[in-house]
Amino acid sequence: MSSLRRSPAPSTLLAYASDVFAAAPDPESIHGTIAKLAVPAFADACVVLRVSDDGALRQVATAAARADQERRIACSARLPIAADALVARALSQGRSRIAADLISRRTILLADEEDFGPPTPVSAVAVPMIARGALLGAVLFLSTADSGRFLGESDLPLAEELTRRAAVSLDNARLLEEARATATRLLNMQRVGAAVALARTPREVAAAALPHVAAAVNAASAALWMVDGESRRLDLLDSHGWPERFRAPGQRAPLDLDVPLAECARDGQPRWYSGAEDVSRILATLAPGLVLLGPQTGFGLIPLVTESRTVGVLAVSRRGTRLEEDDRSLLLALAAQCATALDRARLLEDLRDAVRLRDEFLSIAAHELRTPLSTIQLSIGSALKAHERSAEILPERAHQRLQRAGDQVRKLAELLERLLDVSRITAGRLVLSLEETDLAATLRDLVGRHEDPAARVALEGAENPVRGTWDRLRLEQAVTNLLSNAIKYGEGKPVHVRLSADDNEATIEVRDRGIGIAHDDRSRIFGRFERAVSPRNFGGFGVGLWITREIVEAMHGRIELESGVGEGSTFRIVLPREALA
Amino acid sequence: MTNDAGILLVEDDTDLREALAEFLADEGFGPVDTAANGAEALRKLHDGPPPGVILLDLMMPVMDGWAFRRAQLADSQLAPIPVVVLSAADSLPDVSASLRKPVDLDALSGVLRRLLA
Repeated sequence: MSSLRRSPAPSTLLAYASDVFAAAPDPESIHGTIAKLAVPAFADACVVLRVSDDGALRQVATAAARADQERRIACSARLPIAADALVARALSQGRSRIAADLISRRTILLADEEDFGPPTPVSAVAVPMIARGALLGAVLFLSTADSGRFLGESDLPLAEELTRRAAVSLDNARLLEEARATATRLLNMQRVGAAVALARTPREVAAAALPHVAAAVNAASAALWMVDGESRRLDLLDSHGWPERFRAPGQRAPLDLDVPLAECARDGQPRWYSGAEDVSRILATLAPGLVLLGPQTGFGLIPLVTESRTVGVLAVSRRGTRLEEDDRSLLLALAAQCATALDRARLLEDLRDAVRLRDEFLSIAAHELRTPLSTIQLSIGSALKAHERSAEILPERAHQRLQRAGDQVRKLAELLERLLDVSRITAGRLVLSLEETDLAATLRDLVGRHEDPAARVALEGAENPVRGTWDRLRLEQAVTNLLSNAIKYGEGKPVHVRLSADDNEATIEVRDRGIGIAHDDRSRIFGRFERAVSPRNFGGFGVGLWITREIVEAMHGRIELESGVGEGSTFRIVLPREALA
Repeated sequence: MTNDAGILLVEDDTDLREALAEFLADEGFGPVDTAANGAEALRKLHDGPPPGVILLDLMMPVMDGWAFRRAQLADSQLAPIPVVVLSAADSLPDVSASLRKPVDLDALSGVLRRLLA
């Protein structure tokens, strides 16, 4: 029986097999290599069979010493393999089987002995292909009557080793393929993630994500709907691969509609369809009259689910093939990404709306408060004036009380003015009226008005005129803000105002020796409605520094701050001599 | 001061209108007539002698200050009457003066004295 070891030696053969397997890491090449190495080295014919996904055994490669035999074996590839065939038994038992005394071909492989033709097979060895415990398939080695070769026990080590090496290579090929698929999947997820990261509105999320989602699963079309804030309807955000006239935004569907799209949004469960008929029926429910180019055979409705609710639905259709398990899991992952982005974009939109409403409210409130305040101020003012004119028409106590009321109304009016400034600046309506201004005179005037018994204000450097083109009233407002802050937070210690100038710039410095500002608060305090201290201890809206900075920057100047906790603060307004508007 | 011509005060808020009219009378700015909106003001201007100054609010129902000013300028009899705008935020181009609400009474007196001199 062992006239077989003609050439080459088993060790050479195996070494060669390993090299070829390593060089050809795809399943098809490995299958072919097994067959070609076995024939004619130690068998007259060889059939490689693989267990496919549905569990059936399929012939994937063949080789025979004679060409007519090979043709016949190849022809039998489509025939079913009998349960009692040698390969089937090798597989079910998980070990090699030998048929040394060949009787009927049926016991070796398949149906009809005639198929194989003369010369008849006389012996056979079937070896299961097993890698890491998984049955990958089997290899059938045959000898035929004309070669005088018989396969038996002594051929098993070589047949098994060759098969084992092939199995390991196939397993590696599968792992490589899986790694590649994982990498592609990660890449696609990354692409979608990057695309939606910059989207600021739900519609931008859809426009950015859909082309990448479609590309990731090779889909012909993709569309995204958003569930509205009140969970009453679905709004089409965008579609990819749909005819232009269906793409128009504004398409909406009630959430309680009896169609798969709305059902998917309601129950948060994905839906998969295959077959051209089913898919075209579903497509027609997405948008009236929607027909896509070419028969769509794979379709999915995937809910966009966040932690708390379903925020939208993704629809994907593919031409030619159905959406397989890996497509589906990728789509679910992509849908999760879109859901997060959509949720974020909507929150952002809500936030922008809220800010806009706040600004509008502020503006309206300030305007509405003005008229009653005007009336009160006017009444108090004219009563006081009448009192002055005709001397003491009011009893002294009433006069004092009226004066106090007048002071408070003036403060109220100033606060209102600030609120109005905020809304004016926010709306971009801060208009400067530039004029030739003497900063020294302006500061002398201003400091004179700040004769506060609580704090002494010293002015330096304002002896000589410092002229430039500025908005005098706005500048007064800016310096007044700094001065009131210095007095407010100065702990009663003297406040210094210093003016200096060169040919290009004028600098106004307001310095106090009070509580100071912590490092972390320094940039924040220039924000709107911000303050470094607790509103419980210090009143105000927290808009003074913001307005000050806006005024200074409108005149192309800048504001600087030096401060430390307990060391007081120095604010510096630096202005170009010519504020170019 | 020649105050005979007087002032026409156009303001929709009743309290503010009355308080302002009282103040103007106290300050001796002659006869003060009032109107609650632009349309009423135009009627009074057509019916009576022209005032020395029109004090004009802008945001008003029926006919606002902008529309009133257009109608005034379109009428050659009324166009020369000086206008002082009293408004919360806005103003009009080419008027004699603009004062922000709440009105600074000294500033208002100063402007009126200048215009009625």
